[in-house]
Amino acid sequence: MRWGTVALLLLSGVAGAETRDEMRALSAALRAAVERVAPCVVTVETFGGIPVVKNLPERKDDQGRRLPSPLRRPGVSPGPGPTSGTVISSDGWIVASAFAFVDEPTTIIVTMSDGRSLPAKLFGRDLSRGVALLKVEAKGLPVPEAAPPEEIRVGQWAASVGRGLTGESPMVQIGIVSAVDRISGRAVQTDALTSPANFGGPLIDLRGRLIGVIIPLSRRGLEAAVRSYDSGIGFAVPLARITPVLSRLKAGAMLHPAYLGVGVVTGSTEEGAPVTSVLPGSPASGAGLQKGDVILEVDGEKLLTGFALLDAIGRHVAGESMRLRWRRGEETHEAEVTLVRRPEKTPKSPVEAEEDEDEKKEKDGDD
Amino acid sequence: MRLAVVVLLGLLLAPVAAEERDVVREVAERSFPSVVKLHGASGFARLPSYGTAVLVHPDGIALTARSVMLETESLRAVLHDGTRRKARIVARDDEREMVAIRIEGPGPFPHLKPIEPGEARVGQWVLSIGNAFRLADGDERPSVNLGLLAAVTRLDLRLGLSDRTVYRGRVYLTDANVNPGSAGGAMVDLDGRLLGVLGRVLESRATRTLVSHAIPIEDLAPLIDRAVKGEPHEARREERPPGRHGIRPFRFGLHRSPPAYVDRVDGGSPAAKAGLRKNDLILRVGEVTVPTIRAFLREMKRFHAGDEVVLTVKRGTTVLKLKLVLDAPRKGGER
Repeated sequence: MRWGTVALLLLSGVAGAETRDEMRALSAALRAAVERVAPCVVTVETFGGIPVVKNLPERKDDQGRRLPSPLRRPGVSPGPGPTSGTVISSDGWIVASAFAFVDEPTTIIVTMSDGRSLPAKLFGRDLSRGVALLKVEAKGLPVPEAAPPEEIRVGQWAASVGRGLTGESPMVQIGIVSAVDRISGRAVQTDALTSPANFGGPLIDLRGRLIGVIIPLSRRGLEAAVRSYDSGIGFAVPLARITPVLSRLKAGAMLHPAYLGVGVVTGSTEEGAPVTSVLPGSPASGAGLQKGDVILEVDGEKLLTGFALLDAIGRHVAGESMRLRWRRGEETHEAEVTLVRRPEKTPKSPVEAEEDEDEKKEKDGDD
Repeated sequence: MRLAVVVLLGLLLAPVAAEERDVVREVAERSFPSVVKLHGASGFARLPSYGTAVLVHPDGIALTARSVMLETESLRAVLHDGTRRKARIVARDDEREMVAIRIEGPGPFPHLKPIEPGEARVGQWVLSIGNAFRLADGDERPSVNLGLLAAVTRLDLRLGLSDRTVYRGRVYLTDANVNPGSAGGAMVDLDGRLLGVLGRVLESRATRTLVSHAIPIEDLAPLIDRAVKGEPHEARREERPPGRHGIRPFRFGLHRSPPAYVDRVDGGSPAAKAGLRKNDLILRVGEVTVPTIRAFLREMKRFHAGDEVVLTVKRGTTVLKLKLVLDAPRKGGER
């Protein structure tokens, strides 16, 4: 791997005091990496459909004055204009961001890296990971090489690539991997800028390998995720997280985030995930879980914290099952539960009530 | 790619001189004297009364982004050493919304040398230098952001609340965010050469997101030239009416922003000659995507009789490119 060698040389350099040549070598390696992935990056444009992204209330400061317009146009949120997609199979399957299709467009046009425009068909969507699957009639398309998930490390260089605003040469923005396993284990986090123009495009390493597909994600919903574009907090969903649901997406399924129906202690615990509440009628209550139980294992894996349970649920979508083991007093119980779609209205668990009081705390005690 | 490897190895093997360390600091220090802070007229609704300009000529000619705050007798430039000097607009580029100013006082002024035309590369490092949020006063240094030249592209940009197109030409996009006050600042490369002049924070009409951009310096050469010669305005272009295309888009009753489906093509019109048909969906006018009828009609108004326009249309499951040659509008005009 030529570029691997280059990347290694670069990463061994002293940060913060680079020579001109070191910085040039980094940018040359980056450009070569972009060149490798560029044939797999497409422009996605939509036509028709009903705009559903509402105009947002204007932002005001604490004295009620409108914030200055050069920073942010009041009343307008980003819309799904031209965006990006990543080819994942030579026969024309393309991963894009589900955000691009919130308007339910009547026509989708994909423009390949060679300039060909092709009508595309929207198949399934995984709303848990914010991913949509498109298909174009094409053969022999280049596909990206995926970076093995275990090789992705916090602090490594990462670049977001997209074709939403450009044709020939894709747009490239640089940063690092800020975190792995974010948003309940769904995504890699990066400080490379991400915006509607490169949603659906790849986040790559310096070898041009795919770290993940750039997707607006937030624990507080799609609108919040899209509004924080270009903020230095961006997410990419690794292909390894999409592969398990790919056959369902190809069949046109609409996949929803999974819901178990328990509240758990999310702070540090002596063992497992102590249950603080169980929603009646939920999968958890159906399996016989009760308040005060301690969930010890999911699918044979020991839970160290309540967060680990939320991560495990986050890796699933509604309709999938998981095997739970829990302790009640001296007894241990085990059951297979089928996760469901989160009910429209759920009574607030104590954990959720806490969250409302302090929105800034990114706690997600109920899932 | 192979060439890139050779070049890279050459760079990596090159001996490292001690003074070459910390290149970003060195370039910033070298560029600061050519970046001046501007203070102009205030009192315009929520618009900043400050900005930045970049010196490009020893006679004190500097470039900056057009702004109402420049339109005053009391425009002042604060030089690197904190000296306040009078300045005035000497030439304008209305299309790019850029102006050249002349700073009074004895020269020669420090100034930045431009890159060679066509030398900019997407993925190269750039420094954005400007007085973001007027954080710097007197002899304080303006703000420096490091980032990449993220893209070279033509954008459908608009400014503030108006829906009017600002500029359709080539711009450099950067991931080193540009902020209010930085407009008119410098985008420089790792040799301290000027790539472009930072524009105002603008909104992409397509994605409704703010973009940080610079106008390429090579496109501003005529402006500098006119400033030196003392020709404030460009030669006036002849105003011509839009040409006729003969396309009647289908207007849906309930839809607020319908896509541009063709309802009818006027017999014998340029569209008819090009083979456009009822029910074709117009996707693009030239390079510009037109998601709505409104966007389509607005875009077509930019072309005149005799102009060639390539329309990208979807017909059934195929995408076609059709070339129209517009003719003169008939009496009574077109919608």
